[in-house]
Amino acid sequence: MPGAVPGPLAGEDAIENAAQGGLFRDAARRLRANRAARASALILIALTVLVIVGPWLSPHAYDATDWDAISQPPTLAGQHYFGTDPLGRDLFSRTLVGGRISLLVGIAATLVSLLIGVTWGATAGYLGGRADHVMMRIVDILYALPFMFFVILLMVLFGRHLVLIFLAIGAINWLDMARIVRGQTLALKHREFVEAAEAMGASRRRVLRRHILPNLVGVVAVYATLTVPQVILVESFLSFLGLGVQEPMTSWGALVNEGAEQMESAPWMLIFPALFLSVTLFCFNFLGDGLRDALDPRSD
Amino acid sequence: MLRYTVLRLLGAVPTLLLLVTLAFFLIRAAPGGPFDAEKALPPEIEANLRAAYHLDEPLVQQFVRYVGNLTRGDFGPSFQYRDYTVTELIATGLPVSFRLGLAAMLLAVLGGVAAGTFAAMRRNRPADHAVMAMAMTGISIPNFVLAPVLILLFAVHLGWLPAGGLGGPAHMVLPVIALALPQIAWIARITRGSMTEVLSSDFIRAARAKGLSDSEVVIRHALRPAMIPVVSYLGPATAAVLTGSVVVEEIFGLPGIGRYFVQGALNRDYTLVMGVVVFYGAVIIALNFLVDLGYAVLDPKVRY
Amino acid sequence: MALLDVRDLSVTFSDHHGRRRVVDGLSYSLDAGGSLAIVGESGSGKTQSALALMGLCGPTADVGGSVRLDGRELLGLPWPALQQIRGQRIAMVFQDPMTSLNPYRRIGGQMTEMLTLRKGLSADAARTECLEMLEAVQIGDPSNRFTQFPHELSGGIRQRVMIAIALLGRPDLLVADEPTTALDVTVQAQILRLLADLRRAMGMATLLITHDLGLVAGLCDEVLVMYAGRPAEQGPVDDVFARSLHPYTRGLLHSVPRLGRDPGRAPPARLQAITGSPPAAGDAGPGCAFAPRCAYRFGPCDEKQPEFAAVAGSRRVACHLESPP
Repeated sequence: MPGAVPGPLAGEDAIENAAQGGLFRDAARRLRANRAARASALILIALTVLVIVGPWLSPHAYDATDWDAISQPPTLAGQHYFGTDPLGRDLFSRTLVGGRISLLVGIAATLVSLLIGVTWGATAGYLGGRADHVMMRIVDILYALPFMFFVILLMVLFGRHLVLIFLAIGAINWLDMARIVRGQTLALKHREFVEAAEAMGASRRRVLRRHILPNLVGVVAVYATLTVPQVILVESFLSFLGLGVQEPMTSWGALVNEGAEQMESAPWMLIFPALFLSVTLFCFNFLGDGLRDALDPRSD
Repeated sequence: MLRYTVLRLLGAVPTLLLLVTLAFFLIRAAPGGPFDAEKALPPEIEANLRAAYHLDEPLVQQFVRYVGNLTRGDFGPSFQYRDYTVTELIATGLPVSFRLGLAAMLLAVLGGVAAGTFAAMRRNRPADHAVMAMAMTGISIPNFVLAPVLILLFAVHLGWLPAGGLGGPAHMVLPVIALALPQIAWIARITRGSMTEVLSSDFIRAARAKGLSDSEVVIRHALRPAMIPVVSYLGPATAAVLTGSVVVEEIFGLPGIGRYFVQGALNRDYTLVMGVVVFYGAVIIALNFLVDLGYAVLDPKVRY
Repeated sequence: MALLDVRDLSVTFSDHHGRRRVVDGLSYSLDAGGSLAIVGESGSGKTQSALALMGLCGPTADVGGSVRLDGRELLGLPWPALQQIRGQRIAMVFQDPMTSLNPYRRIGGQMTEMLTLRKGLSADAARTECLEMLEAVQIGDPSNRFTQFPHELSGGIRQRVMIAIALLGRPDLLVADEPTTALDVTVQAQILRLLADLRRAMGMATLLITHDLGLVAGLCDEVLVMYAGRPAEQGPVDDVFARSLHPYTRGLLHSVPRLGRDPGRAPPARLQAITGSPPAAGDAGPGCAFAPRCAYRFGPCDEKQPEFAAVAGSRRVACHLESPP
């Protein structure tokens, strides 16, 4: 890092951190005041705990057949709270285990898209000029491609591997993130504290890491929260088509598919997974909206 | 305008080419071939088959042949439906898919713009909150959940509408709603945002000062500028509707392109899957092109 | 009977921060064909007080008091009735012609719609009338202008179009809210000249909203000075200019630059600025809102709001100096 002087940079960090602290405190206050967002966060936490702990507490394993209860409607007595499927498997356990997969895919794939999108967008925005132009032109071209069809193609061609699902979904969702992060970076680049840091001789890498990236936290958090439901949706879509996780493992999309096939004789098979999936998507969307409003100073 | 149109059309060529290239090489990189299912094929027969489908040629030659055929609208033979070309299969499914998709898009735009405008005109009042909560619900219920629930409710329990299959207009009602509802919700959210902004502008107040009523103000003055963000959403909306049509056609048993696509995917019918990807990709690219021209219609300051 | 009679008008905005009263206790009346200027700094509530006449303050505003047009109460009137008043009885010219014309529509459509929708004219008749009105506001080549978009016109032409639109309904009262603020100085004079001529020709009453005392003299007979949402002083323009009763008006007059065109009066030695800045609307304490900036401030000024009381002849003023409590 030639030319970087460690001394004077300490002060400029302190000023910036103080400003950020204020921003985030305000945002946290606004978020707490938003009842819908707060309720959504609580439901999501409860749902996550239930999905992780629930299957251990359930008396039935998700892939075990109960020969005394084939296609049984929901009852409390038989301890099949959500009923069973035609193979006598407990739907409560299956819904929760499927939820593990759906949430896991949702979060993991969001992280993949975050990693690619933020790196791409921040680099393009910070470098500017020709590099920016070329990088964003690539994003434009990729934007025009029918990505869902590509993911289906990938699944068809290379098998239905969980890791592949993460990568495929993550790889198609980074474009929006890259655009948003680039826009923010461009705006930040010309703010005083970044120019001050550059004037003090900080290297590009340092400016990017110490100043640009931390200031992107807000917008990235909003966008990540809104990406999770999209990803869960894509995974469910693939599972619904039979291209997602494979039997006996399951996910909400796969369960909805099974439920749709049995809906006249066993509507509970459709209703419970559909409800879990929709409520999860609903809460993530509400939380994301709330976060966006909270981080937008104009909304006050 | 003409010059822009031509330039923009030329600009779509590399995107299309990238689409074809990606799809082609992905398929060739995949493990396993289309004839894996028929395990006991004698080697000479498989060799004949490979020759018939030009799979024995070098990769580059196959690619050039494929692209060349594409320019003549020839997507090649289907691996699965041996007697049909992919072009024929797409042509068979197109009328169904086209009707379904177009009806869903129209419903989405009309319903979404109406709901969003209604909410914006009653901003921060109970009606606004109700519409926006419904929109949030709409974007949170995927079409493959909505479709079976609609069938359960309106076909199985109430018996008002047929549960699936091809037939009269009644057969299209549920599929179109299942396909359109999430898009109605998205468009309502977008419209509410842009309409709220437009309604607070000076020229709206000036129009009110002329004695125009609320609905006259919205229809004559606010709708057009408020539609611009909606128009730019049409590209993603089309992509979403085409994707959604795959499951909706499957659930309602409609013999459209999406259904062939799913069957092709499950049967490893590479040429069919690729044909649909390229075809739908071209549709989306074409629509994005129309959207750009749409800006010029809506905004007099945009002149190409 | 006066054409317009405004009594104790108040405009209050409420949001989740609380309530802000931006106009308070405003009363005036205006005869048919008369002219009144409401003068005040930005934030003095003058624009909102004008919008309130036509019910245009927006859904978050709460308008109180009374506004009577020919004796008929306008506040609380249902929308369909208001739509017959707006444009046809009271018309308005807005501050910024750049943003007050719809950028997405041609000039013609924006002009004719009021005649076809509210007055039931045929498209042809409306077009003819609009072209005549464009001539009247001295716009050359009207039929070409008709098919143009606002961004194709200059600021001055746009404001002429706005004036033409306002006059189409043959209003009894024209409200002009800072009609020249957004324009070049040379264009300003032309627009003011035009407004004065049209007022005389059409015999309509004019309410001019401005921050610039310099504009008032040529255009209006009567002036009302507002400060922090409340009336400060009112009277015939010449009297107020000759001898202003409120310290704020005096401050305003001294801050207007003049080029020795008043030989009878000794020009002030130098331009004087009023020190301090006006309170944000609705922030006033119990006393006179101007007290913190007033050079003549004494005992009661901080304790009691002065009444807007009649003094000598047709003049009124809200100051403890003139009407001691």
